Amino acid sequence: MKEAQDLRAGNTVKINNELFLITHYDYHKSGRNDSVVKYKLKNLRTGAPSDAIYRASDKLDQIVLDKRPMQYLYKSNDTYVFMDQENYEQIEMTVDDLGDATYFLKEEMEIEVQMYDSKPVGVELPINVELKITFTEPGNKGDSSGRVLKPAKLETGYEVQVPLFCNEGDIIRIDTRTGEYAKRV
Amino acid sequence: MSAFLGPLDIHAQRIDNYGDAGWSWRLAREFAYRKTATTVRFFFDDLSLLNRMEPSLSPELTHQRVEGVEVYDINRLTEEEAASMERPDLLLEIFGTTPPERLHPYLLLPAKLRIQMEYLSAEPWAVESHLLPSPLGWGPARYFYFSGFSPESGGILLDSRLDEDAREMKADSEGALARSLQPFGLTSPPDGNPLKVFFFTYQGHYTGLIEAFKRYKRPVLLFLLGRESLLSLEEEFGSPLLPGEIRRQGSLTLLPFPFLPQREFDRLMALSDLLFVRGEDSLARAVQLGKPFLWQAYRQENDYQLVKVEAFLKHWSSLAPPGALESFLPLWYHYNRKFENEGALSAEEGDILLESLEELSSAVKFLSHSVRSKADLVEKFTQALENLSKGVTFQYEGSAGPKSRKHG
Repeated sequence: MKEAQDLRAGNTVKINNELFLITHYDYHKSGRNDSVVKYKLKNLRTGAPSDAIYRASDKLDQIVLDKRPMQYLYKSNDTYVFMDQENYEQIEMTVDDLGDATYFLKEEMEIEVQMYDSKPVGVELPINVELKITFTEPGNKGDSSGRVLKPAKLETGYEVQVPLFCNEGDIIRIDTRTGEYAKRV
Repeated sequence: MSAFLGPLDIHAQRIDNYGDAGWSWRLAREFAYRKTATTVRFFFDDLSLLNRMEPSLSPELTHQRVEGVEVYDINRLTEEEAASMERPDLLLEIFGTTPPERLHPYLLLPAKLRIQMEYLSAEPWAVESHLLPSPLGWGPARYFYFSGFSPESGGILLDSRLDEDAREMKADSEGALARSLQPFGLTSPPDGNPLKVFFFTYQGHYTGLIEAFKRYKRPVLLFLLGRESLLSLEEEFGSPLLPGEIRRQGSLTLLPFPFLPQREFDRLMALSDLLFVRGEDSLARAVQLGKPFLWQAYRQENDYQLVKVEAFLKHWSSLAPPGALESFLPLWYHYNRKFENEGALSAEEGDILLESLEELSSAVKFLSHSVRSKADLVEKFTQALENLSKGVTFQYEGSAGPKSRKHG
């Protein structure tokens, strides 16, 4: 069993004897109690998508699927191409298969691809990835609007809130579990 | 109104201050008052705390009936007693409260639905998450319920007793004020026609605000509520403020109140002209009363309360006429960001607030009207149950279904 906050996109859980792949993960601070996490799930038997929400400390039955080390090669239209590091075979996955992982994939990144019934169903990302900021507004000194964060676009197209001191061209570390800024590298 | 007419079990607990417990008790009272459920059972872990807010409730009893609610001390309730009770159909678990594991076979596992009630918030993610399923793979079907301000949310808790008291006090406002001044040995305010300010804040520095009160065109009667408000103003006044002891500076009169039960606390809010409120429960009361107010959100790490304040103001702005809130926005952010270290509001900001009470008052009316007509929590809860319980057969239903059951 694993706490809901420790699972992330690419993990698989078993609920009522069905296997679900987490394709999207959102972490939200709540009030004075537990935070909550929201998942988008894909039923691995039917392919049906669904939404679910949990307390961060809820325990879920994580199922570890077979994994193969692969390298992400490139994207062609909506298809992501990976190469098996052991037999050099190339496999393709869609945005639906990858979910949030598409925000953090960089070419040549080495990751683990999860297999179910001999088919690739998702990827397991490293906890942290480092990505370049391609656009953000300059942070003004003396900003009195009350803001402490500003939006920034990263090289993968992902948008994240960053501290006002971050600039275009900076490399920042993202926590893939929460999708949030962790630090400037 | 769609009728939920089955039994309801509410599980709540003490979290930190009185606000969460008070809100939970208010919810149980309201369900019983509106006769939405056939029985309301309220399980709580600290009846001494609840007794301070509801003096008619004994802290000594395992089970008692108060205000139409069956109240249970969850810590005293034995497995044998729980086993002999009627099995639950519907659980409302407030702010993450769950029955203790030893009582699961009697108070949790037999239920058909578990609803997780969350804190009041206008944040978009909370509205979007309202009524999402939370399947665990064991136990009853579970859903999350997010209270909020918009019709798409779970609504805010409107207290019928407060409405009744407010109407009664409006009909005899002088008498109501005189009764409130009794603990101070007064029968009328020291100065005529005062602005009555309800001051219930987190601890901070309020020098600027006090200055603004002192130089306001009308005398100010400041009702001080809660330990943190008292401690904050002690700093400003340089000596302890004792409950029941009047303190005056020019035309500003400070009235430090002792701890008040929920009903007296609410009545004082209803009597006031301007409300400084904190946390979620008193925010909901301010909105319900439709009086001008300034809200301090519960402080969180990295100033996260600002996100909550921003979401709330955005929703409110969408209801009020364009620009109606514009002059107040910086003031609200400063009040929520700086009150700990730098002082909540400058005297000039205090002046803006006091000089714009009419504008603020009319903007609040839009918000108040909107939640009353479209976001009443009890109403929305019963409507939500109609959907969530499709395909679920409750124990109380028999073969006829919930709508066929008559109350009583």
